[in-house]
Amino acid sequence: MASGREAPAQSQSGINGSGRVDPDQIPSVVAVRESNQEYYSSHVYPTMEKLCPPIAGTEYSSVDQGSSNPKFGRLTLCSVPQTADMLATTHLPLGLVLQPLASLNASEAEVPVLDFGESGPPRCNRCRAYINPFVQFADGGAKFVCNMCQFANTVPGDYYSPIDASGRRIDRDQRPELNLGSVDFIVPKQFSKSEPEPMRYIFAIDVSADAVNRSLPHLAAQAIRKALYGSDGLPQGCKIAIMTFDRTLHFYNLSSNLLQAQMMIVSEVDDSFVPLINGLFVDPEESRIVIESLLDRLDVLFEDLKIPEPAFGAVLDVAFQALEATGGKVIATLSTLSTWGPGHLTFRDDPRQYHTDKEKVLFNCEHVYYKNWGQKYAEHGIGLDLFVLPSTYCDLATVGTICELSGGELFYYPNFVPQRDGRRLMAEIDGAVNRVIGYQAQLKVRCSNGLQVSSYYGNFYHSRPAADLDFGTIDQHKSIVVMFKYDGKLDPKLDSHFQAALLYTTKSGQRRIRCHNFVAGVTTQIKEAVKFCDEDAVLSVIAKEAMHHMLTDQLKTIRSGITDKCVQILASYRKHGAAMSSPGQLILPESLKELTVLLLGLIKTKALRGGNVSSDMRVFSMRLMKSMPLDELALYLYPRVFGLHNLAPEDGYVDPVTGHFRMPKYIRDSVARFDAGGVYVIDNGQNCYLYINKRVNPNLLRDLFGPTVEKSETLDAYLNELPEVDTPISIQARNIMAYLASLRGVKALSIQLARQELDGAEYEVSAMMVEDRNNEAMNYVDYLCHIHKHIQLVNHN
Amino acid sequence: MDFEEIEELDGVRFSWNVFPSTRLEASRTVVPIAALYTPIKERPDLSVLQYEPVTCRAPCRAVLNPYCQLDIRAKLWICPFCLSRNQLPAHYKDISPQSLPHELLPKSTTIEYVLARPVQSPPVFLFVVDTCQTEENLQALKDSIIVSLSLLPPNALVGLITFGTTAQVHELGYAECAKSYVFRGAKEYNSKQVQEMLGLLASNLRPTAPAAPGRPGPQQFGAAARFLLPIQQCEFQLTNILEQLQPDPWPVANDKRATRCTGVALSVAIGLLETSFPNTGARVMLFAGGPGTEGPGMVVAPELREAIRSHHDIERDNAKHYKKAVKFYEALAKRAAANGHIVDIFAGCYDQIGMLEMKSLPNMTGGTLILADAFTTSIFKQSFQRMFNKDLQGHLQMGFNATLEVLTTKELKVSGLIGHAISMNKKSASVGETEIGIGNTCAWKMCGITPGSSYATYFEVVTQGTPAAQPQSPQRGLIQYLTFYQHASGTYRLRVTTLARNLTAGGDPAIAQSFDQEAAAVLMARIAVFKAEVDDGPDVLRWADRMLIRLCQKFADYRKDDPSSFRLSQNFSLYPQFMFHLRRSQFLQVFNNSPDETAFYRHVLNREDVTNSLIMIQPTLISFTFDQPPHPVLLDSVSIKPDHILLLDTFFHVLIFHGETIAQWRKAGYQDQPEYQSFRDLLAAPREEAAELLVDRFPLPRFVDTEAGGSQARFLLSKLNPSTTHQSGGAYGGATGSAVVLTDDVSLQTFMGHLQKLAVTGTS
Repeated sequence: MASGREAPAQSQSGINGSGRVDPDQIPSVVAVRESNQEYYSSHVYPTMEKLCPPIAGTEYSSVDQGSSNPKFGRLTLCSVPQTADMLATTHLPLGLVLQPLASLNASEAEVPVLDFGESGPPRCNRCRAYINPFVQFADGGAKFVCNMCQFANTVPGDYYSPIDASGRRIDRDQRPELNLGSVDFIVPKQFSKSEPEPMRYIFAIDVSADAVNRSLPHLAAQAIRKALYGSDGLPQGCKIAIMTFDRTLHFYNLSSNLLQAQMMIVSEVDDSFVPLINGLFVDPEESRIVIESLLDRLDVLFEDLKIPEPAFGAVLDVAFQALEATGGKVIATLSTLSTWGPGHLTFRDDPRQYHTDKEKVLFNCEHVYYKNWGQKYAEHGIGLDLFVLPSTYCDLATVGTICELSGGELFYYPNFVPQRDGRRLMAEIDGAVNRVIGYQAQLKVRCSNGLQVSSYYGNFYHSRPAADLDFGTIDQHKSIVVMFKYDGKLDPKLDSHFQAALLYTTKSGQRRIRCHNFVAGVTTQIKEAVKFCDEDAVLSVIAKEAMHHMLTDQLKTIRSGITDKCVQILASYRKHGAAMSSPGQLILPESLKELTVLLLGLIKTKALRGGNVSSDMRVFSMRLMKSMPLDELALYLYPRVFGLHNLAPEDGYVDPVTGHFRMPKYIRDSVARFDAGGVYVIDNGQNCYLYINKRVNPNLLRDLFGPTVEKSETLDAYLNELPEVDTPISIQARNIMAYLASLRGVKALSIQLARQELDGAEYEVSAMMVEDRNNEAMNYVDYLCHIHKHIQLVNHN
Repeated sequence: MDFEEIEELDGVRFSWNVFPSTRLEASRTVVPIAALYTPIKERPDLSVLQYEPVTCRAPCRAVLNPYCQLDIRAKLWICPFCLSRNQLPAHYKDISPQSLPHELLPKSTTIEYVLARPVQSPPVFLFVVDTCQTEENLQALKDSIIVSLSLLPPNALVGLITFGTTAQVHELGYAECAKSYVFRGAKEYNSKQVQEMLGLLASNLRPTAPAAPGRPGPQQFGAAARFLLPIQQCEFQLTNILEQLQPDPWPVANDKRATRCTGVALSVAIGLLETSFPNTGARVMLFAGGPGTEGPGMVVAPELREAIRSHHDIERDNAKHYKKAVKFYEALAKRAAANGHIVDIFAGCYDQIGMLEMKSLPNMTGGTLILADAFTTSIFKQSFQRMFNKDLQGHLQMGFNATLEVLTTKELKVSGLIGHAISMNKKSASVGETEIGIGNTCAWKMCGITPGSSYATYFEVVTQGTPAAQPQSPQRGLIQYLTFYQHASGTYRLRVTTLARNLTAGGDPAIAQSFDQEAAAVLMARIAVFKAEVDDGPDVLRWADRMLIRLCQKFADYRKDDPSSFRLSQNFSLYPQFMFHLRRSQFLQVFNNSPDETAFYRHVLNREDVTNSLIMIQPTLISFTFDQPPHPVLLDSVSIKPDHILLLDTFFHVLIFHGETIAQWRKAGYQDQPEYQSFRDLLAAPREEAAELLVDRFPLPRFVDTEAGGSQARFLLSKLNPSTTHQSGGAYGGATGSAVVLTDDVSLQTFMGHLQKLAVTGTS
């Protein structure tokens, strides 16, 4: 099969007993990504054929055949072991990586929205699972048997339909909920605390001295303008409020009957309050004149004031007060450590604690104030997206807690340079506002008898073990990992079923349940289980587990834990799946071939790597990975690298045959593979670097950056996008960049120059080369040998 | 002796113009020696001296005056109050009996000095505006305030605080947009917190952190300049803000009142001024559209089911917010007064706004109270505008930061003052033991003062001994009033009034002849009202009756136990009548008036001079009819005649009452027919007269046009002496055609009858 995922079941790793290793022979992420993409460029993925889904990062279309599109969720094991012991033997995790609001591509059918009126969608009376394609109708259609708990329910009168001889309801084809794995149910009133209404946004802009000095208010104002009036704008009925803060809180009356906004200042940060109600939240269209004139002058308003120390803690308080009743989204910027007002923080970062037992303290939220707000935000349906643009330590561990608990997102711009990064900030604020968001959300995951949910990883608030997850907001880019454990033995005759139900309110104010259904086989064979395991989902689970451990364990323990896990999984396979092969040879299951290098990438992430990384950076990376969808994660762990100097003529254009965009050949993440004189793009989905070799051809520079640029030294150090130059190579390169930008989630694509021997970012680039020896960790070949050695040790004993 | 002439000259009316010379005798005259003094009464011919006064040495500090003994040769003057000898200043060396300096001329009993000390800052006007109002009411208020800006001197500092659910201090010095600092409505802020919140602290650093050395904080004044700016600088911005002012942006439930944090707004206003402008002339002008319902100083809870307190509730101690609110506003009033700041209250609301609770603010600071049904009414609009009346030189007729000190010669001591002032707790030889009104001090702070503000000062004679022991040579008691104030022209001024009155033996008929019954009535009314604030109503009435009876016993001619022989001399004859009407007035009777109205009426009585006060006590009634010139008639129900038009002036109301026939004619439209010119003239006459009354009355009275049987006629009937009631006359009512007053009150005739009987029996 051309996809290369199912067969052969195992592969020679290029390592054998002789010890000499050819780096070109060891499993290559680049190669598998390429072949997978090639296959899915011409094939769709049907969800019910028990194939492992396309690998992360592949652009594909899928057809929902009753089990949900893998974009919404992927099981680590597509064939679930029958017993707990069996699972333990494989050392593989059993989990579901969910991304409930993921966006689909244009060729895939949208998730249908179904309205069952006052009674709501039919549910199992015992386990409360929602109606789905896998329930069995019996008794001529009078009963349905729940696929989760096997309970026979009476079909509600208004939902009755006779069944045909094969047990199919005769109206099945008219019923999306019986055909599709993913549907949205509109739910009746009892599912909402208050009358749902279109979402409310609060923009809270830091205007303290630090921010003003770096003209952040101006950028934020531009960003808000772009978000509100740039393209489609917010859905009808959404309302926004704007506030700013330094040591005091500033609210704006944006009422449309005013000529200009009125600023209201609350100085009482310790006992803060919202000073107005009418005019605080306004319709952005109705009040457009007032809002725009405020945004125009936002930087001027504070130009001469420059008050240090933002009272961010108080902002949390008032934003909560403003949104307590309705829920909504808070979008805040923060320029420096919040040292004023309630929940004020101290500079607790201490490099002497790095790499000691006390380092984990720096990763933990030490302030109960923030935990409390995070919890309250989540419970009241409020999400915080925080844009931190510090020039120094900012205690992300603490301020970011709320983003984490409320289901928001933390955006972190260390070394923010307005000229360079302003464009990115604006695009990301715009993205954060205009992406798909659900608020006042709760998630419940149900599974077949014999299994139960054991834990969750991600950004949410989980009040007690048995409770549903609370999200203030959840957006299309958030993923959650749900782990399962056995409470019995699975029936190999039946499939195992999983249903994730997300109760949420859409931006336009409709209360819905998004229901995703997943089905997996049950197997009695270890080999089978491993064969159908989903490498990216497994990686996701391991990564998220590792992030979770950062709060309690030392980094080096976590790093060696990851290696151990890798060894255990592979050793188990060696023992149970490939016992026949020669003992000196490293045998990798085909489905987990790239696991080793991806885990090496995980060890080398900013969160976990050795060496000197500020605690803020580690915390940011940690939080990022906690909520990252798996395709973003794969890219984050193994960045894509390609050259701009050796583009083929057809690169950078849509292939007329397949209709897919043609990217240049990727190269493996190793400096050794860079051509001298080359220009490379290194993109990990978060940051994108343009590496320029010092011996670069001046003609290439001219073609890429314009006729005036002869040497890389003359380039503007704060370049953030490729200039428009009318040369074939420039057009190709810009096409490629535009394409990459379109693949991204909320993170905007902004180039950062990494000129050899000129820019500090060069160091970043070399640190991203996973296959090289760096970050106090081995190169790929050595790591693979290390793993191999340990597999032999494990199996020997 | 023409009392009014003296009043013209010195702005003072004494109850007695000749004083008994001993304490005992003085106490027997019943009505205390007292003077109603109008310190900065306008007098076109007043000498305003452009030099510093010559004063006696400390602690006396009396000012050189015509009653001083002068030793021209030795260049000495003897202070009549402390009897010290003072050197005349060097530049007085050329004086002689023929060329005396101005202040020594006999007519210079009242004189004003312009002091050289400059006023540091121009007056401050801080508008405190309630936004919990209907659009219409708020609009009218905004218009009035905007108009008033043009009436202020261009260098005057202005500020704006608006309030509703929260209180907002508007930063006028900020050109970029309308900017305000918001204060929680439910919280009490002390002045330090206000400073902190507004960023007025010299160093805006964390209180615990030491101020960074070498980094001087902004000047205090500079910081406050963001909120209080010269009107010429911020008129545009302020007008803009006012025009954009919206009703309070918080929803009001159907069963609730608007949340209104009047107390916080006032405390912020006072806090702002006291930190930025201590001891400078400043006015806080509160415009309230309803009662305070939140935070400190709330008068009533926001729930409508809780009714606002009535007199009855207060009496029964059922008003749950009353005492707390009173205490809160009194504390505020003291803070404001201590810094010389004035608080005015303008109510534009049919309901009560809590004036009773807040009355201490204007009462202690010399502020103004205006009670109007809405800000759209001319009562508010015109009264407000009249506050900014100007004198001939174009200066506002308002003095700021005023103090009044009283000096007396040793025979006399000052017992106290009743008026809009607060004690300065200054002890001197002139302070007496007896306390009437605000006593135990010889100096009071008035803060705000207008040419019409009048203060009742009470004295006692302290000379002991029998009349016989007194030397026969005529003795004089001297009183010197020193009024120090900030004139609107930007100067400090000192008005000095020195008065001398003869002291004579108790039996001297001169004493009785010097009785000024009008002044006495007003002075007694002020005591009665002062007592009414603390005592029960009936006690005050009994006290007033007792005083009247004792006065009559002492000064009337009668044979013992023969009521018919009772005669009062002319200058006593009206006094019982004044007392009769005072007893029935809204000042002592709270029935039919809300607590706010009572507070308002009493406030005004405590400010006005003798003439105006008398109108309040005993309203004037003028009758208009055919073939007769308009003439005053008795304030009696018999004055109501079908073919007469009556014009009643109660000071607060001006009422035209058309007799029954006149009303019918008017209804029939006779006045529009050319042949009834005289009828038209008759209808017009009282209106012209009323218009004249309204010209300079402050506050503008309510004008009522009514007729016999009209509902508004009650305003007239309640004031009339009920000589014809439903109980008098025959079973079918009086046959006279005069109106019947439905009341159980006794008529003046009955009252006099009782008075005569009690006076002559001599058993009180």
